[in-house]
Amino acid sequence: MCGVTGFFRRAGGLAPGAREELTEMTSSLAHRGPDAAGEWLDHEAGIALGHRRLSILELSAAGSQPMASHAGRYVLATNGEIYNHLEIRESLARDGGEPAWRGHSDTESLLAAFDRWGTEAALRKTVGMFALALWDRQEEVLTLARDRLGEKPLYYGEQGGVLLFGSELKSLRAHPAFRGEVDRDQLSAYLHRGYVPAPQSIYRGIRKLPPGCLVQFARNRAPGPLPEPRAYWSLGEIAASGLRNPFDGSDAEAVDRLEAVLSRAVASQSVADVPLGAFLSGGIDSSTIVALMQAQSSRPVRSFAIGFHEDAFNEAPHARAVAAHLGTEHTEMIVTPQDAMSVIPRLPRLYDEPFGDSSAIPTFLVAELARRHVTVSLSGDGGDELFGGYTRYGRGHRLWRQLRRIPRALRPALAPGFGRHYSRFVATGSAQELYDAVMLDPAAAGIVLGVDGKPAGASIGLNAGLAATDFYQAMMLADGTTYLPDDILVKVDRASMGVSLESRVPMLDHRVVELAWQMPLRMKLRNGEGKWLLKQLLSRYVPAVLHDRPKKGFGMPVGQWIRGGMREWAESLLGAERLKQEGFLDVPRVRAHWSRHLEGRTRSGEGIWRVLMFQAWLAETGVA
Amino acid sequence: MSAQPDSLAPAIALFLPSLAGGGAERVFVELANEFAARGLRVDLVLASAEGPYLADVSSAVRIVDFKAPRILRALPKLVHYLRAERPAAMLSGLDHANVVAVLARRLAGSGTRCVISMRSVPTEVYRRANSGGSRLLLQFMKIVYPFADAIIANSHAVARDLSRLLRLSVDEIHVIHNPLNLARIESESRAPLSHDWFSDGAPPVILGVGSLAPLKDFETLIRAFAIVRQGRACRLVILGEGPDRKRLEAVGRGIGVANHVLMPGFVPNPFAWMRRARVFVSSSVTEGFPNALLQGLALGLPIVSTDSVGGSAELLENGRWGALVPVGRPAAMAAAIGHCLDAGPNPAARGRAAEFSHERVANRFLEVLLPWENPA
Repeated sequence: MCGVTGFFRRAGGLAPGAREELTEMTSSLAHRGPDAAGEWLDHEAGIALGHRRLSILELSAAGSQPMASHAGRYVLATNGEIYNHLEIRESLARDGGEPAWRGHSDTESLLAAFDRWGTEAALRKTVGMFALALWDRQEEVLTLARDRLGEKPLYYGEQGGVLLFGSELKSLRAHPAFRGEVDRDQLSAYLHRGYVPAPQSIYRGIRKLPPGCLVQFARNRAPGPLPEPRAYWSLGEIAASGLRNPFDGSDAEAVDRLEAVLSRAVASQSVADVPLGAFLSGGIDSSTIVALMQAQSSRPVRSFAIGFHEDAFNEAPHARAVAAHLGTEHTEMIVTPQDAMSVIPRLPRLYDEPFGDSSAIPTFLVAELARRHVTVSLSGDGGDELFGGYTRYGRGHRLWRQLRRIPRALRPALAPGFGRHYSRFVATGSAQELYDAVMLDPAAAGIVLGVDGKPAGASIGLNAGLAATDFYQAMMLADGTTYLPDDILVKVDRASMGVSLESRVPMLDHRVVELAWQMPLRMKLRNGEGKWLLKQLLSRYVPAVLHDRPKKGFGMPVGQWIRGGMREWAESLLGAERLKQEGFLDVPRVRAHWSRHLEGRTRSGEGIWRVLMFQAWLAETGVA
Repeated sequence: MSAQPDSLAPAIALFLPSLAGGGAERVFVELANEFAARGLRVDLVLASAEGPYLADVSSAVRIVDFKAPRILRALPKLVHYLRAERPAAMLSGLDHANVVAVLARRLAGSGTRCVISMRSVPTEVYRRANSGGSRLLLQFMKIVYPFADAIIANSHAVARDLSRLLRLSVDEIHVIHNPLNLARIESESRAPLSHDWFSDGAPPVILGVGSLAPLKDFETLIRAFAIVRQGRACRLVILGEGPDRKRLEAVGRGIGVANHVLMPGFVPNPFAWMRRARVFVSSSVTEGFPNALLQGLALGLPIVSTDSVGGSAELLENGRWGALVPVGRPAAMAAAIGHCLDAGPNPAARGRAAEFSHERVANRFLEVLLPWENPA
């Protein structure tokens, strides 16, 4: 696990001082890779690659990056893990493309694969999580690529004639050519959704590479728009193919299949030359991962949980019960509101893009706890998107089934009868509109100055064909392509990297994802409850009494804190004078929202929390 | 792990006159917080948003304040609220609020499922109150309550009384006991309490908890305490506030124990007092469901309770988990207190208390409030 950065001056080569610029960019990512730093430049070609390393496998210098391929054609800087890199070496040997290995790092395996099969074909053979920058000296082409589900981040964009790229925005900001102009449309999208959706970022002209994509830049091209990324793997296609060719076995066979595929993913991700553990909340997903880890291990697996004094948020007793049942070596920490609040000032620097999901706080705390004992931790994320866990899926599904029977033209007339909140769902004309109504905060409309209503980026593309027949899985798919990579996985990556911990997500092994999409709806939704299949699997290891309970969010009572202990902090960020000077937000609207929140007249603090996280980010990064 | 609220979640309104300290208010706040933590959209609708529990309301719960000084004045506002918001279900508590809730739902025609909850034995309460207003309310209840979609009583005793009053079968009334937030009680009870009555070697403290009102009959407790004191050094603390304060203080002075009785009023953390007390006494004439007694039980405190009309005997399973004494009999109560002081703590009773965990109780409430959300 590491950090990647660099820049490419596509015409004219590198200027003197390029090395210093690269060092600045690379050292901004020191937290992602505290163990070593590496730089590689080709002044004539105009390319500079930087790397920070957190050593997990191949702890020797034979794993140093940027690394050149044996033939010398490629230079590679990666962040992540290729779990099947030994299998790749075996294929290379069979294929006659095996070099004399210098060490056993996955970077070396990947380079040989690129050498042998070419970029795109090699990427298709990987199993893993990664973001990478690959320089092809022969063709003078830079390739940026990202893993299939979007576990590892990659930002890029052209600024002042230089292509900048990096694992986090802070590395791009460290380059002198960087201009940080806030993209107001994206700011509005952020306030609607709680995160800035790919392929855009909060900065105009800086993009996120979408999951499963690569983008290539050739030297000496005439200036023009940036080339578009292309997909080497697409969740949408995987879903479509799975739905066309569904698994047709019995219930028991389905559980067997999932057990086999997920066990293999857990096994391949449990390999490390450093201590390894897992996050355990006691919920379905993390309990399943830990159960499968323990089933494969002769020694107790290390598991980590945090708890809270507030009962409504405290999952620690559930985690403890599951840990005791499975016999893990369990570490628990009960955190006070003060502990949790002390994380808040660190969030803007950690995320360096506005991020409004308050569960970033517990995720950071549990990563911090785990890092005291291990260097790698497995997490159960992805289960809700793959196996249909969110309550909104079932409710949306039922509502859409009813709504479809009502002629579209009649819906607006009927809507008011459903009350102030629900009427906006009933008034929707299409599945897409309904999904947007469910996912987007209506209070965010019109709050960004210069953006009228809902900006284009605020709508979350739903597969229309799938939505027409299966709204449940259409929502899952849309979440899998946006909410999962842009919110959940961003949170897991930044929280763990913030404490130099490598997180791994076995559910997102693409073979698990492919199997999940072959499973028909009845394997996900049954008896009105989601995640049926996953619960069946877990029940083979943990009795239902320990995991069958109402699903709870893992949000934090940030709404309460900003009314209480953090009120001064919030007030200073939301001061009318300050807002006016910054000029991004509609001052009276923000102030009115804040007043309503202080009086308890809002149902959640999420809306005002998003505004606060933007304000704190603005203060931290100092752009205007 | 997700902080994203489910905007499609059904809305539940919990309607009460206010959050002025009391058992019903505490229960409603805990239910509201638990429902919200499960992702439901929760409004705590108050005729008047005031009272000490306001600070405990989760920020995921919206507070709707009608600013109505009298509950009847809240009726038109509740009608308007129901028409505008159309919550899936509304749970009301306390008699006046129940009557207003049922009427408002009829007037609003909103399709909201209207569930009322009863927390005390109505005929007993109104027989004792015996004023024109109370008799009128009782008549109102008889007429109005059958229009509720469901009725929840917090003990079998309350359910039996209601079924007689409303001529309903007792099976039509759901019995759901009060929730107990065991972790919170345990952790709050460990908070420091600096009162020299609890210093090392101080005489044991006997504890009563409840509003200083005639139904709680603290006079009998004070008289029983005076008898216990004849045999041994001990002290009495009564936590709570109410109209009877002056009279109770006079009783204490009259029998010469005033210096050994402390009535600090409403305290925010009664659990710290309970942990340090040696016997918990409930002297009530009637109890719908004795919250404080259950809390004492959860902390392993020996219990003495009157065999009152209502839920105390039910909770103690006819004496299995604590001593039962007749109502209004100081001598019998004194004997039981003396016995408890000799016997010491009652750790087995914690298991009984665990049957009332707030998770289990919240599940039961949701089964009644949103039956279609709980197909099982």
